[in-house]
Amino acid sequence: MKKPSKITVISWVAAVLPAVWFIIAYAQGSYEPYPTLFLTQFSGTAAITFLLLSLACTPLRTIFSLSSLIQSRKVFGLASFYYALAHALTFLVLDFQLKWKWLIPEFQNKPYLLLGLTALLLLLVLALTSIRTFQKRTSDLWRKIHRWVYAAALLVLLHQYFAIKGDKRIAMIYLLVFAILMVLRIPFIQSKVRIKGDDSTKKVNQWLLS
Amino acid sequence: MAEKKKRDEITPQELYRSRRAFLKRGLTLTSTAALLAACKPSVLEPTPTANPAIAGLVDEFGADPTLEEDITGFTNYYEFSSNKLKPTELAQDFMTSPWTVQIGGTVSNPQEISVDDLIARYPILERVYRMRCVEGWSMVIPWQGFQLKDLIEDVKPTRDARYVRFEGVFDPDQMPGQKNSTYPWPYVEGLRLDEAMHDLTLMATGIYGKPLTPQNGAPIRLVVPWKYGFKSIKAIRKIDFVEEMPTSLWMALSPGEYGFYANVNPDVPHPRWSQASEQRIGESGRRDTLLFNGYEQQVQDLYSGMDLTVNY
Repeated sequence: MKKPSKITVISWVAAVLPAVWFIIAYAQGSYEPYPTLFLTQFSGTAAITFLLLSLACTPLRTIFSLSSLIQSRKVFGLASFYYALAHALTFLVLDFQLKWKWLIPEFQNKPYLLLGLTALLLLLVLALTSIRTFQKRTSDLWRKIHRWVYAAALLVLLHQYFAIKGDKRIAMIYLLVFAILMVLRIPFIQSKVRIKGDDSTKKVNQWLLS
Repeated sequence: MAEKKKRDEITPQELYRSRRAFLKRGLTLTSTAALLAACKPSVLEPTPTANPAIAGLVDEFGADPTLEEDITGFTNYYEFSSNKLKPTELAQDFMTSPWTVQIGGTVSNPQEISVDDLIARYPILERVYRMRCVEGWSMVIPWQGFQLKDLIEDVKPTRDARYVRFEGVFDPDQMPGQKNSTYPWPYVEGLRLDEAMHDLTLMATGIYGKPLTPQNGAPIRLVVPWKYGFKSIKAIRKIDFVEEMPTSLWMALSPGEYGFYANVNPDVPHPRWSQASEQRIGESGRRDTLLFNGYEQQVQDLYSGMDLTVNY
């Protein structure tokens, strides 16, 4: 197996660190007496954060001429899926113990749960098709499928917006970041804000990819 | 964080109970002294009554009270923080004495009275009530307090009084959450006069035989056990008798989610949390939520003929 590049390792460490930090506090009993509540909130926030980080890679790569960020994009996308999966399992298994008599009405009368579920299924497809062989063999199809990430992000952000009680400013900040990331994909905007890379940028890239 | 305890390090329920039994024995031993001291009603002595909710240190379904540590460690108190573990620390230095409550509106006997005087004036009862938060969790809490009815009879509402409006304290210097202007502070809640007069409606001043902690709403709070927890306003400064239905803080913020009545009802779904089931703090799995939080027999007459789906 090929040795992973530095950028891949750094990205994975960044993706796993929040989970390690949370698990340590969890084991210490810091979230008693209702740890499920905190696990739900943590995993959901982490899933959304890494999804936006993944979406940030492409525009940042262009703007700062950092081609190496393409590898972070995949790592953060997968991390987002794993956190989202943990989030859903916390809700279904830890919180509701897979009791369908409670769960089915929940999905019937809470649209935000359906938004979240749809986003999770989209992320599942993206995760399954993220393997390199699939990407190489079906590059056109892969490209098409992976555009669903924009839909998944929007669904998940709306899911978060409706899930928050009272002060929704944090959800609005996430939506704003998403909007900015979308705007930064417009070629005209990109050409305006682009910072030309020089020799040191090249060196950084080479080091990160090594 | 270092002070946080693991679940299995928490003092077991049996120890709390034996501690309480010890306190009760102590009270019997000193009863002669108590008699000499002009017989103020004891906080720990359960008042005998036909009401099943106050039969002992379990609720009328036999459920044990939630651990004291959990009741004081996990609270919903947006005046301090929206994180349920943070008010415990943030409220530590909150000044709860001296404290006066202003009672007015359409009453013939308005008054401004200290909490100490209220506690001295009315019989203090011990009541083990279920508390069901709108967010889908619940506790069983051994409260001490007096019936709101007793106070209402003293202030004598006029014929115009149809509702009671409660206002919490506004003190952003002590309550960091009140610096968040997204919320229309101070906290406001309301009851219909007959709900306020109900035998179950309590003005609580203590939990587990001790004065209320700041995070639990010290020095005085409302407890309406058949309604979602947010109706039971904490740290009350003002009680007004009014003609019009008061608008509570949560109604003002999100009228589609929070109605005036907010009776616990598993058949009226909330857009965010399950109202059909709940996580009882300290239990491993969820349980079914009961209509009127299990107080259906005592309170259903208040709502006869009303559509509870419309009046949520």
